[in-house]
Amino acid sequence: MKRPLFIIFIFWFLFTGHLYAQEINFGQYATEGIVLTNESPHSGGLNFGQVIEGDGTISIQLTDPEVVVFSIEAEIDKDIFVTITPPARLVYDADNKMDYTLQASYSNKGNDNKSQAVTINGTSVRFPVLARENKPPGTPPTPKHGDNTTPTTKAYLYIYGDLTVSNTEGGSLAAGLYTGTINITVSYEEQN
Amino acid sequence: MKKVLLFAIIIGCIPLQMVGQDQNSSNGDSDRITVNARVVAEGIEMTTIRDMRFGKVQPGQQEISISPLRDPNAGKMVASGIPDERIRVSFLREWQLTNDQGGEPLTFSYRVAGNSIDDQNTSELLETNNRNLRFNSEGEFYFWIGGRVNISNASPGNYEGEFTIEIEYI
Repeated sequence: MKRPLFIIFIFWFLFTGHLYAQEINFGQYATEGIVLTNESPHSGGLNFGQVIEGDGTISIQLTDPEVVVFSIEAEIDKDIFVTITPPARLVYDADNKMDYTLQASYSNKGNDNKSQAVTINGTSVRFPVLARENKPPGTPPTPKHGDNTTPTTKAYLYIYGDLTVSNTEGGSLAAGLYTGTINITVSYEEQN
Repeated sequence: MKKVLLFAIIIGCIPLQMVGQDQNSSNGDSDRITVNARVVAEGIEMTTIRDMRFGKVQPGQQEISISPLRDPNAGKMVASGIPDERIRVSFLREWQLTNDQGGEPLTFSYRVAGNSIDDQNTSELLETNNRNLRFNSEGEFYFWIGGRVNISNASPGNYEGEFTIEIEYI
């Protein structure tokens, strides 16, 4: 009897699919809503200014004044998920488009400091609202009870990138204004 | 017994998934920004029509002042570009004039007037950063450059300097 049971267990471990460990997202207990604010002193958009065909690749870098800065105010003991959806191209019309490559970083030390910024690889990232400073994770957040409220703090998001000044549709670029839209979403839970 | 074993194998082949709780929170936020660039078919050209002329300094003269609005000795430049396009103009207010015979430089404070037509008398003084200007129908905009400099402590010699102005489409 023991041998068949042993065999059963072996087959079980060989053929069973993936076991997912449970992950408790404490963000579901957040009571303070996230506030995303465009803090840029200029027009608020990402403006590459005037370009002339043949300029090659024009870059707005993290330290340039054209960088768009967002503050993200959220509960201090939570993680947040940031998703940035850039346009693939800036468009004048159907026959005139230019490639845009998103670059983005975040800073979560409690103040707007680009020298502490962490580069975001890709278009989404998860990070603590306030960095844990190389310490082990603390105790789980205190759920809301009674009049207890979780304090909030601000993290910062920086948006910049590269523009390739050539027509992706072939031919010369028409003179005029080329535009695109970047969407930013911030939440306590991963958006699927 | 074999049936039990076979049943157990079949069950073991069916992957079971255990997932954590997944409740959506409505506490998030979102925003959007515009990315833009203006392609220009040609750049903007600046042409100096005449330099600023100070003339000879009179004995006891403390200051040299040239009005960009009225003085015929004001410098004159013309910018050329796309007709009727809006432009942004900025310039450095102060610049050092150097003496070709050594000595302390002089600080010159520039004043600039602009007009979409070639008429100094109807031109207007510009700030160091201007966003409400526009090329005329022929793609031109005119500038007159004047200013003032204190020469009470100036050493003899010829003084020279530069004027920097930046123009771009907006």
